[in-house]
Amino acid sequence: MIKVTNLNQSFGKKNVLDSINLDINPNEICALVGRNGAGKSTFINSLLGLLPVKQGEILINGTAVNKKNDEWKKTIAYLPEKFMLYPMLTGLENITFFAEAVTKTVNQERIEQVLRSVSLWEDRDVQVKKYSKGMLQRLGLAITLYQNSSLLILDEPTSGIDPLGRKEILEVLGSLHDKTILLSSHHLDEIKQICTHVAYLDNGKMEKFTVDEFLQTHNLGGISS
Amino acid sequence: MHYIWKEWKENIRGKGIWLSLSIIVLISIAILFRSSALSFDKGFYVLLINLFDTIIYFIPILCLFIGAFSIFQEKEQKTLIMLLTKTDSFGSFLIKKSLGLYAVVLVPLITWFFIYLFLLKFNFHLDIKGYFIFVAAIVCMSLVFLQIGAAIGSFSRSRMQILGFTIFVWFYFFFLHDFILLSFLPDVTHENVKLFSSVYFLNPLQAIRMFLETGTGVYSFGHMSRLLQAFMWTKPVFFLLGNLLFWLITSFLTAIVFNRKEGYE
Repeated sequence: MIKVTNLNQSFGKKNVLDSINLDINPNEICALVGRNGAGKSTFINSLLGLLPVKQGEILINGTAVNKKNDEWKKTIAYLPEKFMLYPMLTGLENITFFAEAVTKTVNQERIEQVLRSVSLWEDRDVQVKKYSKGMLQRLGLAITLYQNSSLLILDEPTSGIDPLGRKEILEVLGSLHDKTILLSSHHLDEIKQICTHVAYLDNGKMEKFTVDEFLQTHNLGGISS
Repeated sequence: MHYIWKEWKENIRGKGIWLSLSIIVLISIAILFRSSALSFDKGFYVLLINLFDTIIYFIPILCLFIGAFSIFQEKEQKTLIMLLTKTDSFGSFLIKKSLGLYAVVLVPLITWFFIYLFLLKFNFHLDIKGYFIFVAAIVCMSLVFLQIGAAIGSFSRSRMQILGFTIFVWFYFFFLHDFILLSFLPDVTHENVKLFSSVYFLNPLQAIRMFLETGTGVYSFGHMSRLLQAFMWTKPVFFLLGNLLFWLITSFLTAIVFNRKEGYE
């Protein structure tokens, strides 16, 4: 699904990503883990084609990520961290706008289906400025799910959300059995709960583990979050 | 179309556009009251020029702020990155977003000046062509400054930067541009006056003012010196169109080339 080979990204003299290699197979839920400033956002931006790939190669579903070919974009749906949407529009207006702008089609049944899946159907006519952080993030997730992409890239989807809100988002993510998910996270409990693998980024290098291997290797077995 | 719909809903539910429009409405009514003593036949033109000379201070800065904050918020709220990860490029996003902004600003503005025409009808003998030229001048001014504002929003990384750039652009076109040209004035000759005039009319405020004053017949081209004739080497409407094209294209390209993806406070 995702195959990264010898990816390098640098800003000035600083090598942020140093010969990164990563394989993520279909239907894996892989956590992207690393300290603040380790290069997680740089890695995600490279996957999304927002940073040009100068050295190395990224293949999404066998198609190279580059400016010349947009085919790989059809496979990906992305949820940014602290996605605030358009506060003056209602939840329904927001998802309708993104449906039209991103997929060029508005399917009302699908909108209802994804809003119900994140428990926001009842609040669809409320302006987004009145939503809590958890509701905002769930609406962002609904917009991502509407795109019906097989690969979801989620940037700290539970960041700044209360435990109940996190639980709701994790339940939705856990129910997506037919998707490949790469999510960056700082929470070990959610990694344990929903992820199958961990891609650990440290000093520009990346290693991939199963969740159990990662917890053992880093002596984190007893830490819950 | 969906961008225009989104922009429209977002703005009519906010305060910014209503605050901006209410400033224009208050100024227009105040000028109308002050002009009520003018003659029925000629007062119309005096009112138009007075009104233009007053709102010229407000429309540029309001449009700069609306354009800049609108683009900046797309970055700050992470909606831009969401749109760019799919089919849109920043260029296509900017075109759609700009069209949305034009609709949001111009529809209320043109509606108000249509209503205002009825108020003028009771006080003056109307010249519809002159009024159309006045509205066209306002529309051109709004377009240019909205697009420059969009460029500012695109390359700014904080709200403070937007404030700084906006005030600088406003100050530049109101004072600095003319001030700089004034220092070159002693060196202007018949040979280089065309270049001087081209640079002079790069200032949208001067191109728009010349278009309005000549269009309404307030400023006449009769009895000009040879130097002034050479200075006005084409019609004011062409200076205006050239200026409009120059600033729309330059601002658009600047927004793309110098776009900084992430915004933060």
